[in-house]
Amino acid sequence: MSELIKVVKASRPLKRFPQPVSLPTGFVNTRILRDNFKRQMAAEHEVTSKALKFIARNAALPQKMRLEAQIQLTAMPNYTRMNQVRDRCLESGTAKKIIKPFRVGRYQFRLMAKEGEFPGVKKGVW
Amino acid sequence: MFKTATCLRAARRLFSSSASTRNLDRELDELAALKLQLTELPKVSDDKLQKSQLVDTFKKYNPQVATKEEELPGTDRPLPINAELNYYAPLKHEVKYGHLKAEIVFKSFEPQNLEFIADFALRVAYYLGLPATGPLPMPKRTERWTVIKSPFAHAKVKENFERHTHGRVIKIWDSDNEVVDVMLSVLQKHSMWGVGMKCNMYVQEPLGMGNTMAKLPDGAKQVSDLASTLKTLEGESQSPVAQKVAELLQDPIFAQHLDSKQQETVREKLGKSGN
Repeated sequence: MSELIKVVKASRPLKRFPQPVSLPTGFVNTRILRDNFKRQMAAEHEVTSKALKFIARNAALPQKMRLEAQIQLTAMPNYTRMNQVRDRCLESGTAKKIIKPFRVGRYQFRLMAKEGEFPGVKKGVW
Repeated sequence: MFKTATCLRAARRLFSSSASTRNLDRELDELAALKLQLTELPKVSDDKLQKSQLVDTFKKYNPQVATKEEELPGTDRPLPINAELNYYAPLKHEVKYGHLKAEIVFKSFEPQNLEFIADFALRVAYYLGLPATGPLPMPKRTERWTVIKSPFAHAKVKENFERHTHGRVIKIWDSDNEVVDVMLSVLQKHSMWGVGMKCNMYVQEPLGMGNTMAKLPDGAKQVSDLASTLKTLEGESQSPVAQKVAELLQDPIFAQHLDSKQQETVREKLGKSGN
């Protein structure tokens, strides 16, 4: 049995992602990689999904054609959808408390702001 | 000195003595008669007369230089007038018709560079002959972020950060779009670090927009049939999405839902972009 598994594994080597993608720059961890993969896939399939949406939502076209487009849309894998991507900290990879204008998490934001990395940001005194 | 005075006195005495002997009155009468003979003065044309009077008017003026022309130290020439104007508030052309053409918005986190670039923009507008007003300060935008100091737990201890965004608006009036474009390109060429620029340009439409809309045929108003869809796709033929839609509409999986006539029109209209 174990030999069979070995043979199967050799014939189809395990891949991390279904499609090959390029590595992100900067900080990398597994969750960043996953997010990066989804972003690239979403970018790649953006034209197709928009074209299918155009057909599916166009009342001027025949109903069956619109249904066909909707079915093809739903058949597309999840990783091609933009709603699957999540903002992650560029410095530490955390997905919580991201400060949007700077794309970093709260702690990294504090460190970088004190370093003067963000123009105009200073200690708040009021 | 003394000598000349005595000479003069002697001459006067001589003249008075000679006049008495020659009978001065009679001679004067003769002279008057002579003058009466030539009553008509020589005529001068009006143009010449006016010109000669014009020359006289110059004598009325006493030209003076208000500011003293000083040579720049190190060079043997004075400061040019346009360079000297930099020491004064920017000059502005008068707004004549009040047609707003463009609003140039500068934004920055620091007001110093902003003041400078707004001043520069006004000068550019002046030398391009654009009537400009401003700089109008925009309300200061304050963004604040409160974050937990520690990387983990101890959530009671926080730290505040803030960022102020200052803005200045310059309005351009009564001008040509091309000249505004020239001004914008000058500003872009000489842009400063830390100062963002945005321009809202306005176009004036003639009145009666509603009437022209009402006269449009029904097909142009609503997208309800295949022809209008194809027309939209044709108009957007450069967009990759429209190209993809054209490709899909000719794909047998989708095309099977159209009747043969519709398929033909699709092929006619979108044939090129589909291939």
